[in-house]
Parts: sequence; C-alpha cells; structure tokens
Amino acid sequence: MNADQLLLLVYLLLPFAAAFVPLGVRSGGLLSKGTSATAVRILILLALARGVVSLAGSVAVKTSLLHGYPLEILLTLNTFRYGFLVVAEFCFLLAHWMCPVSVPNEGLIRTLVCFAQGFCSLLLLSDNSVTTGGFLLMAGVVLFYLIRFSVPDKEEEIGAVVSARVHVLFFLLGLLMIAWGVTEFGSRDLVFGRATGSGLGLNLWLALVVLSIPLPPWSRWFSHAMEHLPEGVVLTLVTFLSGLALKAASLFNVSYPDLGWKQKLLLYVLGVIGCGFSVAGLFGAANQRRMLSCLPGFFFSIVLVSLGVSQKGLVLSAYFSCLFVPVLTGLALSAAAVADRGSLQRLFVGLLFALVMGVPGTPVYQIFSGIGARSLDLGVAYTTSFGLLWFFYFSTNVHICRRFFIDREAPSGERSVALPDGARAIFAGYGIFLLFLLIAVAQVAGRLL
Amino acid sequence: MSGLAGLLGTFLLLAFAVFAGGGFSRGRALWTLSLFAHLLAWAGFLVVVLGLYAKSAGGAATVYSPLILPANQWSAAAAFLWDFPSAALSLAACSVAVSFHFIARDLLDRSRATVASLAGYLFCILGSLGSDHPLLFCVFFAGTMVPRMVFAGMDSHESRIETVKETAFLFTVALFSLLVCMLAFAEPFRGTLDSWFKISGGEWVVPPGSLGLCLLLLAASISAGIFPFHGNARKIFRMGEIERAAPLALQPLVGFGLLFRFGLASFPREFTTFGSFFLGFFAIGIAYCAAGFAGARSARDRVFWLQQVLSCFVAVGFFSLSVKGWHGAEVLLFFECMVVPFLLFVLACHERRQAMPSVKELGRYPAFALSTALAALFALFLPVSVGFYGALLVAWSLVGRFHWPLPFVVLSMPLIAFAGVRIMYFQLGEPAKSASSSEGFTDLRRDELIAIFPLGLMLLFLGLIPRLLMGPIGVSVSGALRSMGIVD
Repeated sequence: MNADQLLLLVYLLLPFAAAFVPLGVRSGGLLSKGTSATAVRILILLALARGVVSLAGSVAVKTSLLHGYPLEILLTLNTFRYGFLVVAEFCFLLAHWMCPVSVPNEGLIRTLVCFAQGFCSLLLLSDNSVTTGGFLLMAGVVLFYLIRFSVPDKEEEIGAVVSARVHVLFFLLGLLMIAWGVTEFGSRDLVFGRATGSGLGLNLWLALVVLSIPLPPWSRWFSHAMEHLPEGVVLTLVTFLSGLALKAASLFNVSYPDLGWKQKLLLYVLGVIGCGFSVAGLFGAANQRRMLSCLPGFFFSIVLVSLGVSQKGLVLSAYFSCLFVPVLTGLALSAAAVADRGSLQRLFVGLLFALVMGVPGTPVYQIFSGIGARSLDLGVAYTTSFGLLWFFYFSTNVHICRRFFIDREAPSGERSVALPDGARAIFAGYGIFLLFLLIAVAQVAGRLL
Repeated sequence: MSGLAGLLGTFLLLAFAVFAGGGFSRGRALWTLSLFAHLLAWAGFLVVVLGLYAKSAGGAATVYSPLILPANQWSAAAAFLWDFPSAALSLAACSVAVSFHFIARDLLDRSRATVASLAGYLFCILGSLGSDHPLLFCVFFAGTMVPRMVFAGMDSHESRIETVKETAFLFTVALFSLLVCMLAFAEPFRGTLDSWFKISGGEWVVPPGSLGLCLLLLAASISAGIFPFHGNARKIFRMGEIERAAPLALQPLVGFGLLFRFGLASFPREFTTFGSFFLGFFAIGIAYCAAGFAGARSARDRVFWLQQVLSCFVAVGFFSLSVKGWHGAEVLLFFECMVVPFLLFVLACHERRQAMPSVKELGRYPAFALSTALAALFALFLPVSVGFYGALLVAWSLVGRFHWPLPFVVLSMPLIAFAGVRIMYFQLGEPAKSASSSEGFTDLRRDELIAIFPLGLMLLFLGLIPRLLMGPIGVSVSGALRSMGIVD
C-alpha cells in the first residue's frame, strides 16, 4: 500500500471514526467532530490532487469480502470523481455547521451526518456493483434515522412519512443495483463495465437511474424534506442525492454508451416533465423554503434531460448539474440565514444570483450550453423544448429575485439556522468562497474530462 | 482432540438434564450449575470450531462412537462428525442457550422442568447436528420431541393440551416417516427393495426413490416447521413469556441438518430430478412468507414470518444443488439460529416494559435504542449481517439456471423492506403501546444486556467481516458437494 492509498483509506474511514468520538460541540456548532473530520478530509483530498488531477491517474484501494466470489470492496478515486468529492466535502462542512444545536438527539444527528458523509464517498468511489448496492442499503437506514431524529416535534407525521419513503426508496435502489450487477456482470467480476446488453439488465438500469433522481411530481417526500427538515440535514440529504445521481448517470458512460433512442427519449421526457413541475412548483410556492426547494428538483431533472440528449462518452451536463445542486442548496440555505445584513452578506447574495442566472463561465451556463448544443443537433422538436426549458428557468430566477428583493413583503422562511452573532459574516464569506470554488472546479473539469 | 471436545460438549448436557430432572438442586443454585454446564458445552464447541479453523476449513472432527448395535457392520460405523458448518451451528445454538439463561433468569429460577428441558433439548439438537449416521440421527430427532412438548405445554397462551397433542402427532408422523425412510432406503434393507413395491407379477407401482424422497422431505419440513407445515411452529410464538420461545426457535436446525447431511447423499438421483420443482415451491414460499411479514400486525408474528422467510431461503439454496446455493443456505441457517432468538430476546425486553419512549427521548435509553436498531438491521438483511451475503448467494445461484423462481425471490425483498419500517421506528412491540407515555420506562437491565449484546455484537462482527465465517463454510460445502459429484 503506497502513501496515496493510505491517504485514501484514511479519507474513507475518517467520518466513521469521527462518528464514534464522544466530542461535544463548540462555538455554537462551528467546531465539532464532524467539522474537524471534514477539514482533515479536505486536506487529504488536496494532498491527493497531484496524483489524481495533475497526472490524470487514479488511486484505488481494494479488499475482499469473501474468498471464492468476486465480492470485494473496490474503491477508485479518479479525476471525474475527485471534482465532485471536493465540492461535496465543502458542502458537508457547511452541513455540519448548519446542524441544529441544543435540540434533543443533537449528538445522534451529528453522528448520522458523519455516517451519511462517509457513505456518500463510499458510494461514489465503489466499483463493485454488489458492494455499491450494499452501500445504498446502509445509506437508506442512515438517512432514515437522520430524518427521523431531526424532524421537529410538530411535524412528526411528515417526518414519519418522509423517513419511511427514503428507507424504502434506498432499499429498492440497493436491490436494483445488486440485481443489475448480478445480471450484467455476474458472469465476470461484478465490477462495472460494458454491459452484456440483456433486456433485463437495461430495464433494471433505467429503473435505477429514474429512481435515483427525486423527480417531480413523484417525489413529494423530497419537497417535504426540503421544506420541513433542519438546514444541515437538508444539505446532507441533497449532497448525498447528488452523489447518487452522479453515480447512476456515470454508469451510462461505462455500461451503456450506445443506449437506444427509445430509452433516451424516455429519460428525456421524464426529465422535461420533472423540470416543468419544478418550475410550476416554484411559481406557486408560498414561502421561502418551499420556493428554494424547487430549484434542486429542477437541476436533478436536468440530469435526465442531459442523459436523454447525450451522444457518446461523458455526459458533462449531468456532471455539472450534480456538482451544482449541493452547492446551490447550501448557498440558498446560507442566503436565507444571512439575508440583508451588511455589505458582505449583500455581496454574497448578489453573486449567488449571478451564479444561478447562468452568467457565462458558471456551471449553469455550461449545463445549458451543453444541452443546447446537442438539442440543435437533434432537430427542431428538441430545440424548441430546450428553448422553453431555458426560458422558464430564466423566468423563475426573475421571479425569485422579484419576490426576494423587490416585493415589499418578501416570502419568509418558517425557520432559519440559529446562528451566533459573528457567524453570519462567516457564512457569507464561506458562501462566496464556495461560489468561486464551484466555478473553478467546473472550469477545470470542463477542460480535463 | 476436537472430536472429543464436541462429544464432551454434547453429552455433558445430557448428564446435566438428568441431574436437573432428578431434583438434586433447585432455584439459583440450579441456575448457576445450568449456566456452567452450558458454558462448558459452548467452550467445547469453540474448541471444535477453532480446531477446524486452524487445521483447514475443509477438514472435519470425527469421533467414532460404537454406541448402537456394534455387532452389525452398518450400525457399528455410527459416528459423530463435525464439519465446519455443523460445528459453527452447534456453537451458535450453545450461544443462544447461554444467553437464554440471562434473559429468562426468573423463569429458570422457578421452573426445574424448564432447566432440564433446555439442557435436554440442546443435547438433542447438538447430537443431531453431529450425527453422521442416520440411525443416530433418528435417536436425537426423537429426543427433541419431549423437551419441545414440555416447553410448549407449560406456557402456551391458548389450549395447552391441544398444542401438545398437535406437536406430538406431527412429530410422530415425522419420526415414523424418517424411520421408514432410513430403514427402507439405507442399509440393512437396501437390497430388498425390489420386492417391496411390486404388485405380484405386475409393474412397479411407485418409483422407490421418489417415495423415499417424499418421506424424507415430510420429516424434514415438519421438524423444521417450515412452510407449508408452519402452523404448529407459529404456536411457539404465542407463549405467555416470549423468551421461552427462543430455544424452540432452534428447531429448524434439526430439519435442515437432516436435509443437508443425509438428503442428497441418500437420494442423489431423485433430488437432481425433482429439485427444481421443490425449489420453485419454496421460492413461492419466500414471497408468501415475506407478504406475511409485511402484513403482520403484531411483533411476534413479524418475528415468526421472518423465520419462515429465512427457512424458505435455506430450502431454496438447498434445492439449487449448487455450491453457491448451499453455501448461502448454510450461512443463512447459521444466521437464522442466531437472529431469531436475538429478535425474541429484544422483543421480550419490549414486552416487559409497559410503555415505549418517543423517538425524541431515545437518546436517554442508549442500550434499548441500540438493541432495537440492531434488530432492525438484522431483520432487513442489511450488509452488516451475514444474512445479506447468504441471501445474495442463494439468489445468485438461481441466476441463469432457474428463471421463473427468481422473480419470487427478488420481489419478496421489497416486502421485507416495507415490513421492516415499523421495526425501524423502534416499534418492535404493538403500535398502541408505543404511542403511550414513557413515564416509568427503564433502560435495559444488566441481565438483559448480557443476554442481548453478545449475540448482537457477534452477528455484527461476523457481518462486517463475513469471510471469517463464510470462508470456511464455503470450503467445507464445496468439498462436500464435490464428493457427491456436484461442481459449479
């Protein structure tokens, strides 16, 4: 085992180790075992940058679960995954900061966020289909308890419904992943690769992709979670779901680069429906949290749209969407917490909306330019549909700006993060940093991938 | 050395059962002696397991025991033989019995019959797991009936006598089937079969092997209490004190022990011919039992249906007649004999408490919360338990070979996920009870902790490092099947 592999191993095990450390919370939630572990993980990722990004190599760790069968934990870090993990770690740092303080089960919530963080990286790096399915099954339990313990008392019933849905959904996803892996790769080594092309395997993969994405209008649990759960938990959930969507979308490149037009059309139509419902939901939202909850739904749906218009090779638009969703959610939640206080906070909110609007060079611009270029190739129907999508997305941003900054009665959130006095400036500063980090990662990824 | 340790572990319990039944000691003193005897038996099988592990996983610990009719060449070969799977199962059974002493301390203090029955029952189970001779197996098989009736008769909720009568009838049928099967299709009568099934001067009426297979399966399914003979097994989950059901939940070991050790060896041709039909039947059984699990209204029913699901999985793995399927089935059998008693112990702790804490208050009762969370993890076949790997291997063994039973197996898993939701809400008990106030609720007591956590942590440990258990079992199963001419 070389130094890079050792670092990767420490990186992977750190959140699980941190989960068991009985460390209290300091400085109003800004310093905890979760934030410390995340900071170390970020440093480790930076240390791995040379081998993975500069030299375009990969680092892998592998251990066998069972002799005689290809059941093994095979975790590979490459450039593609590295970009997402860097962004995700910074989002998890924000999530740890935003975790509720002085509430019942606070320690349990922080521990479960650590677990979710650990499983997110394991899921993304895993290359063995059965092990990946196993991680999904475990993640379902972690997210179930995270939602269950963090939901406020008065929303007990909603919390019960959402947690049950998440558990069943992840259980199904885990089963689908295992069934797909055994069907397609069972005769080989269970490692993701070119699919054998069986009809059953293809259908299982399609189901896996569609279920991986919280697609409106069939994902009311996601809207409920966005609206009712504490900010830190919401950000954890969204970051995890982004990792899952990225995993499912990236398997397209690996296993089905020559996907048939019917399957692509199905994904495209589902994606467009999801986008439509997200936009409609945003216009009809009654409060700030509900309004902000529609944007991640829109970008999750965009992942399906980009898969639907894809040609061959890497689906960069899907990749950028998955990069963008957790940051957008984190920034939106931060903006909600720090809005209209001081010049730094105003600068942050202004930059955020420039990012969301899709100024050239930002990930939103990259997402839409990628899909737009392919839509032009595919003919007038796709081009018209894309034009409508972009137009509605632009309108929603205008609507958000108007509601937040121009209307006399801005939509109020039902709850905001309980920030200590000095923390608002830190949040705003961190938000600005996150904005530039995202743009930088997207630019580097756009050139390397 | 290993074989002698196994023999000691088995027969020590018989000696203790006689001692307890004789009334030489009572109360706490008897409990202490019983715990000591069971711990010694546990240590004996630990030696066997470690010996096999150190030697080679494919090896076996054998003790020839000329106990029966030594004058006859056939019965003189009667022996105890522990391969790795049977030794691991014996160790698991002993672990459950040791834990039972703590969860049911009051019960064992006041009931001498229960102490004697527990020792006698475990002796028979260990004996049947170690028997390498059909006649020896029959002796132990018959022996399980008495303690089972004592357990069932002493504490059944409804109509004790009816339960005992039903149990006795079914066991008599099973024993009779087994004896006929053994005598007719094994030595010393094997050579006389030609004249048994002939109408005078006519054709064969029944293919003899098929009849033997049916008799064997009847005996195995009744003794394992498996679908479709699960009605009687369900009664043990309706006892007044649910912890009393834990030793009886080890009963599938006997039925499946019979199948794994003597089934394929006695009727290889018939199992190969008809195996796929039985596999399909038990695949449907998995779906049926999973639906029962999802629809169960009480926690006791939930545990019962989970046991049935596990048993059906074991049966499917067995009938797949492949190394993968058998490997998965043996692992699941081990998992079943550990996890069902574990769930019953957790359930007993729930039922002893009048009220359940709300989710927000769970942080104040960490042992209670952890035990229930572990129960949920195991009941859902999650990858932190060997049950996940066992079920995976069984399902995998069907891919590409048995097309139509596979969907039943796969589709039953979402049902298990739905069923598991309530357990994950820390509501192993009744929902109405859970909603009540938690005033007066106490965390797990010391005895309950000692009963629950060693079992739970052992399952968790084996689930996190599955190759510790599954590696040697795989080698052993592969060797056994290869000797019968089956290679994947």
